[in-house]
Amino acid sequence: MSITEDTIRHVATLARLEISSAELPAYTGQIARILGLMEQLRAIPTDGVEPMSHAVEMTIPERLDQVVNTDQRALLLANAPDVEAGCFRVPKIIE
Amino acid sequence: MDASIPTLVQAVEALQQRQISSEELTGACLQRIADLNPTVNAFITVDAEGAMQAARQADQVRAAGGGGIPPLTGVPLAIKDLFCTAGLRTTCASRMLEQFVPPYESTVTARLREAGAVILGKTNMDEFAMGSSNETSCFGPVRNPWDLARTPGGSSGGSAAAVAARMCVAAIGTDTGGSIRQPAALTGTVGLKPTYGRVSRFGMIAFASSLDQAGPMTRDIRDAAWLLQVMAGHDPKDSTAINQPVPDYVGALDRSIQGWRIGLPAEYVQSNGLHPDVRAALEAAMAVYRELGAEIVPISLPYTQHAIPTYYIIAPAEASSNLARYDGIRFGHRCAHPKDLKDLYARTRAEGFGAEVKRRIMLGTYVLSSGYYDAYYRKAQRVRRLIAEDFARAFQEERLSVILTPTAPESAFLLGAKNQDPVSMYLSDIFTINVNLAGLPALSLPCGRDAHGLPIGMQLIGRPLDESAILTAGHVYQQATDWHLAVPGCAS
Repeated sequence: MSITEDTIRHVATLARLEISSAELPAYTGQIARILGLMEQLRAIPTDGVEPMSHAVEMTIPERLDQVVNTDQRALLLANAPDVEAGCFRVPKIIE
Repeated sequence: MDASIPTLVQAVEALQQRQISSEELTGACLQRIADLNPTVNAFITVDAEGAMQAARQADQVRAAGGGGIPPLTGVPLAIKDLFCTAGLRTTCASRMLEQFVPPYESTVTARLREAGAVILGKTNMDEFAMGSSNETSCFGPVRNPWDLARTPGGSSGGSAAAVAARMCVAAIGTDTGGSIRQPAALTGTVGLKPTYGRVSRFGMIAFASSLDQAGPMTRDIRDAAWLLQVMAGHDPKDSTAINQPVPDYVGALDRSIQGWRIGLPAEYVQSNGLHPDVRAALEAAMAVYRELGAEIVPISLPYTQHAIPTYYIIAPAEASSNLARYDGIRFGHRCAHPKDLKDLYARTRAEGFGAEVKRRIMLGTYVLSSGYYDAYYRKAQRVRRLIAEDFARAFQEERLSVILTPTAPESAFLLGAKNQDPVSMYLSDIFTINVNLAGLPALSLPCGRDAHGLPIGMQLIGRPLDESAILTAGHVYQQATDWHLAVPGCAS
């Protein structure tokens, strides 16, 4: 799988990261090298090996469905970059 | 300048016996921070006012006397700037969170506060804990107190440097691929990564959720046992926190290790990248353990060499998902004058994240993307199981109490030596990341010095939830040696 500048441009778009044309060659080279490191895994036989997504085998515990955090609107809005009338303000979404 | 800042256990004893007040001890730490932080850069935020207020309160609690005085009452600690502290800025060393003041408290810091600890401030780190040298911090690198031209390691480099330079009594770090243990090794301190799930992750800013774990960073093993005793335990706010009783770590320290079987994995000792000075220090430590009555058992962990590619698929995959929340809408940085929502997202994230974080987000996005998911992510998850089974098999078949390895392939490297080449930086984690993938407890403790006089660390790995074994093995070693008592030049 060859990694080109187009690949990285596409991945950056998926990840919602603006990458300038000037930055593109360096990222492409570095990510290609890192992915190259990963090629060695292909040779490992893993048929029948259950994928491991977590270090501890456990079921998700349930808890009582209770309200624990009451109204914290002011506290939560305090970190917002742009607020109006108790709401987060964003650029126009629908043309 | 003196090195009179005590260890945690010494501090507790001195406070109990009224030889010192918390106000005096906290004031002394703040003075050392004022003196040393301009060069070492271990702290991002120093909360002098909050710390002095907490210290005075602690002194009142002790003066009031009676039973039930919390164990850490009046002990000044430093906290990695990745734990949310209500009302105290928490940046994760990122421009993205430069102004972020958490509305809630992490479980770890809440437990430390309930135990009476005084929080001095928030320590520097690699941005979002992604790095092994502390050079990805947007607040500039931390410098190693043993040699200011060198890295203290990462990502918990600020916590490690603060402990080594006696700017605090002890500190808290986090470890996703070695971020507690590698900086501990490079600064001559002790760092413990508990079993995954032993300590609550609630209020820790997430990097890779299946690997992240918080732990103590201290001058000696006894201090680490004291802190873990407070930090460990179930938490209903973290569904991955293990619901098992917390054993008496401190009480278990003074056991004999006579007859213990200590595994020595061939793949670590024969690793090409292992510096001869580190190998020599490890061999000397093995001799100490034999003298203490333990047996060194050669073992093999054949999947060791696959840990780096496995980790650098899984961790960035989880990171790309976790870091999707930084979108410039509800909190954190937002770019100026966005022309539409897409532009807002893309420029906010371009401005807010540094290069290493962007690299890992793109890497994670790539390995999770359609067409590559099975080849990379699913494959890595399967190899992860093989790596975990390596350890389980060795512990069981060889009836091991602990496994002994080097912590890092070499001592502290020069700032700037690896930060232009991500792959060479990633190789710094070669001996630590396996443990995160397997979810096991492990600690690093000092075991020698190299030709430059820089500290060398060794790693003890335990069975799941057997932090007691690695703490005991570390403690008996420290009773027989004095590497942990050395003080770096800038702090003496």
